[in-house]
Amino acid sequence: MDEQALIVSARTGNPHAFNALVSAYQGVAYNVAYRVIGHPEAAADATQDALLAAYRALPSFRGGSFRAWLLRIVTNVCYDRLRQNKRRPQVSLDEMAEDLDYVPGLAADGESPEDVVLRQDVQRILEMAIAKLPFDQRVAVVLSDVEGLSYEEIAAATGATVGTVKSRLSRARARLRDFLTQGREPLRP
Amino acid sequence: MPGLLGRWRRSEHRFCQENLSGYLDLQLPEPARQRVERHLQECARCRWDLETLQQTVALLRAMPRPRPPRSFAIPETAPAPSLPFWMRPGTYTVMRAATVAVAAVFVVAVVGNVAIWQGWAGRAAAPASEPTFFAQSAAATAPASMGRLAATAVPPAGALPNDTPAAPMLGAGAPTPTPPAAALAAPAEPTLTAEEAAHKAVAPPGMGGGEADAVPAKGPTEPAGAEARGRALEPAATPEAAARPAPQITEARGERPTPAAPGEAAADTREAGTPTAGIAQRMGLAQGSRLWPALLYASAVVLALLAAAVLWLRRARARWP
Repeated sequence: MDEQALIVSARTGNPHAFNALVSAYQGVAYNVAYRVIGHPEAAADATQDALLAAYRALPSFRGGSFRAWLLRIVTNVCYDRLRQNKRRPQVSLDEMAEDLDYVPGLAADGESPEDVVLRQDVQRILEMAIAKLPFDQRVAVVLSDVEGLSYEEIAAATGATVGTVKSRLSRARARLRDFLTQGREPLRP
Repeated sequence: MPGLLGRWRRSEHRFCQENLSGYLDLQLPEPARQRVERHLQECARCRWDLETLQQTVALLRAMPRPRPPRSFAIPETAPAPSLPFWMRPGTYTVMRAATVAVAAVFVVAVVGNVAIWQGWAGRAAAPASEPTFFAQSAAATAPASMGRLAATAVPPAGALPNDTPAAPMLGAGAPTPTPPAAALAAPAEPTLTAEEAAHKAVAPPGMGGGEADAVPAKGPTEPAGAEARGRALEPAATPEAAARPAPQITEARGERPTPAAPGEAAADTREAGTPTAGIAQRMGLAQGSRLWPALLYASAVVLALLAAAVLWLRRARARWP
């Protein structure tokens, strides 16, 4: 059954059809939630909430990219959770820092232990840098560079214009670059 | 010349910096892309920025994708998809229409209250036969111009035009010749002769004749003004009803001799005030005086609630996917 047929069927109240969509998109939904929230358990809870909310809100889906529509719900839920956590912290900062070390899988094919350590270090630094971005820029960079969405899809997923997406992405990348280079000056030719 | 060149270079540098990300994603239109490339050839800093930006994006794209720790399949008992009431088509339109309607009622209530306050400011200047809500509130809330009006109304009626300034003001407050406007302008009537008044009473009140005649009016007009207000506030008041009592009043005034002395005129005014106050009471002024503020407060509260609901609705709908 294709995606459109599954959506139509799920809209009539068929949870099995929706679960077929869930199995197709839960990976991307969880990945976005994890990169935006930075905590695996909180990301899992946010993904679960977002998918349930998506099922209830299916009548408001009016075509277009289902992935972008679903990711909009995911990012909204993530935003609410981060705001909630800011008011009533449920996850301690230490725990968050530990979880930033969370890297599934170890060595890829042909990777030496040194390469693994180096890669994990870079990833840890990168995750820290992403966590320091403002929410809108974080979402833009995760959707674009981690998930590979187009500018138009990001605009649909965030409810912003393409121009705003471009600008957020540009600022986010520049901040990440500055964080990674730590103010190193370029070599003069 | 070097200054101009430096400014141009700085502007090109800024343009390049702002568009490096779009350049990397091949999102720039052709002229902008060429402009960035021209600047990149001559700016080492921008080349370094582009290179490090490319590396950053490559690192981001190489980030591992964590596996979901569990299945997120929804339970079969999950509630069926349905839109919340505030997302249903029509809810927002109905709320907006209701807000506009209540805002209109609020405006009408404000106009009604202002008209009554102005009328009662005039009444408060003359000896009040019955203290009511508005007699008190007018004293507390009347603007400075009304205070001046009230002050000038104290001397004997024959010496100065008591409500003369109020008559055009009230007429101006209600520019359309509706029955209340005609009734508010009616204080001028008692100063006419019996024949004039009778003629005027026969004439249609919606013609605005009351307003025109009100300007040269002189003498004590407060009780008749109160009566006219009573008429205006009465829900069943029609143009005919507004015109009907006028002959009675003018007849009563017609019997009154021209005031020979100021004191005599003042006494006459008080005498005339009592029966007209009774008429005003009979015609529902006491009830009306509570109706308008009640309408004002009720519409203000409902308007505030509706405005808050519409704002909440807009926010909720914006966040809904």
